[in-house]
Amino acid sequence: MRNRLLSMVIPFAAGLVLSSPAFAQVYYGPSSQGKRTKEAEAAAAAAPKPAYDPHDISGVWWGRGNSFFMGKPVGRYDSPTISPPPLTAWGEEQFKAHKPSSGPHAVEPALGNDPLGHCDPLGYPRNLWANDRPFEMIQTPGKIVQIFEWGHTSREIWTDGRKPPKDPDPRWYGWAVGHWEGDTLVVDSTGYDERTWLDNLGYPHSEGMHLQERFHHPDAMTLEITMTLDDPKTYVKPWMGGKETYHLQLPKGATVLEEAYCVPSEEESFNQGVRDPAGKGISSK
Amino acid sequence: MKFKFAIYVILVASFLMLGIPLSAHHGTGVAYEVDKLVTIKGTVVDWLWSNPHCGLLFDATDEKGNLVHWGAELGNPHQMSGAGFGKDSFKPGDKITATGHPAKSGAPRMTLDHVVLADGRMLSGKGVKGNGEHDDSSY
Repeated sequence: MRNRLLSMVIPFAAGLVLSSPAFAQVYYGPSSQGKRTKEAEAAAAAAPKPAYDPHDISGVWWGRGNSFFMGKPVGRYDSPTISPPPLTAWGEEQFKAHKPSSGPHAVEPALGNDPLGHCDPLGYPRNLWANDRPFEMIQTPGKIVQIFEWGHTSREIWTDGRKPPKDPDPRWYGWAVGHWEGDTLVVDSTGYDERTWLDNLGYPHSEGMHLQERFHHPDAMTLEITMTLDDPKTYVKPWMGGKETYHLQLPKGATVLEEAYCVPSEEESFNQGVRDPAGKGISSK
Repeated sequence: MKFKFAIYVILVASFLMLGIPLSAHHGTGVAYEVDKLVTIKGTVVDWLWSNPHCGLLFDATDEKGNLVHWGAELGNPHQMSGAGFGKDSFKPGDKITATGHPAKSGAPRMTLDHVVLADGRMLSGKGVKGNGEHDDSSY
C-alpha cells in the first residue's frame, strides 16, 4: 500500500518541480564559450550583484583570458614569458620528454605527447588555466567542491579540519584541505599523479608536489588566487605563481557550465582523419 | 581622404583579428600555414561532429586529375554551433568549397577558414559565441 502511495506521489512531486518557473528560465551559460545569447548576456548584465561576504566564494568564476601558465607575467599560447625556477636533473629529464604544442618547444600535435591530445585528464592545477574556461565553487559546511568546465570534472577541498592523507595513492586532482586565515582561504594539496603537466608548455611535477593556494575575495565580483608550488624533486626552489584574478559570472546561482568533455573515441577519429595526417604528412586518411 | 583612412583601418583591424584566434588555437600555428589560404572544391566523405574537435573529410581532384582525400579541422561542436554548423550540416556526397590554412607538412589537410555549401550558404570555420562575438578559445 505504502509503495503504491509512493508510486503516485513521486511522479506528482517530480512534475511539480519540473514545471516550476526556475526550469522555464534562460540557461545562463558562462560567457567564455558557446551559446550565451545576447538575451542571456543582457539579463546577466542586469542581474543584481550579490551581497558581499568575504568567506562566500561560491559561484561560477572565469578568468577572461588569464595566464595559461604558472607564474606571471605571461603571454598567449605562442609567446609565453614565464620564469620558472631551475629544474633539477630529474625535472629536466621529464621536461625534455614532454612534447607540447604550445610555446618555444612546440611540435605539431600529431608529433607531440600532450595528455590533452588523447583526452587524458588534465589534472590540477592545469585544468584551472589550460583552456581559459570557467569553474564553479560550491560551498558546503565541510567541504568546497570545485567543478571545472573542461571535462566537467571536480575536486574536493575539505574544510572540516581533517589533515591531508599520509602517503596517499596519487590522484589526477590530488588531495586538498583548506582553512581560513582571516579572509583568506588557504588550500594545501598533495598526492598528485605525476603524469599530468602543469601547463600547456609541458612543465612537469612529481608525486611529491605540494601546492599551496591562497583564495582571496576582495569584493563581491572578484576572486584572486595565488599559488606556490613546492616540489624539490623537480625544481630547485619553490615556484611562486602570480596573482590570478577571476570574475563572478552573473546571475549568481543560475549560470550553467558547459558540458565540455574531451571524448576519447571522438578525438581518436578526429586524430586519424585530420590531425595525424596533417602533422605526419600523410596524404590520405 | 577620411574614407580611404577608414578603409585602411578596417583592413588592418581585419588582419589583426584574423591573427589572434589562429595563434590562440591549440597547435594551430605549429601545424598550419596561418598566413596562407587555399580553396578546394570537393565532395563530402564524412562529417565528424565530435568533441573537442570537429572534422570535415572531403575528396577533390587535383590539377592532374588525381583524387585527393582532404580533411579540415574545426573547433568543438559548442563553438561551431554558434557559427551556424550542426550535426547534420553535411552528408556524404554534398558538394562544397572549403577555404582554409594548409598543413605545413604538405598533406592535404587544412584548418578551416570558411566553407561554402551546395546551396550557396557560407559558414565561418571560426567559432562564434551565441552573442555573435568571435570565440578564440582553444578548446
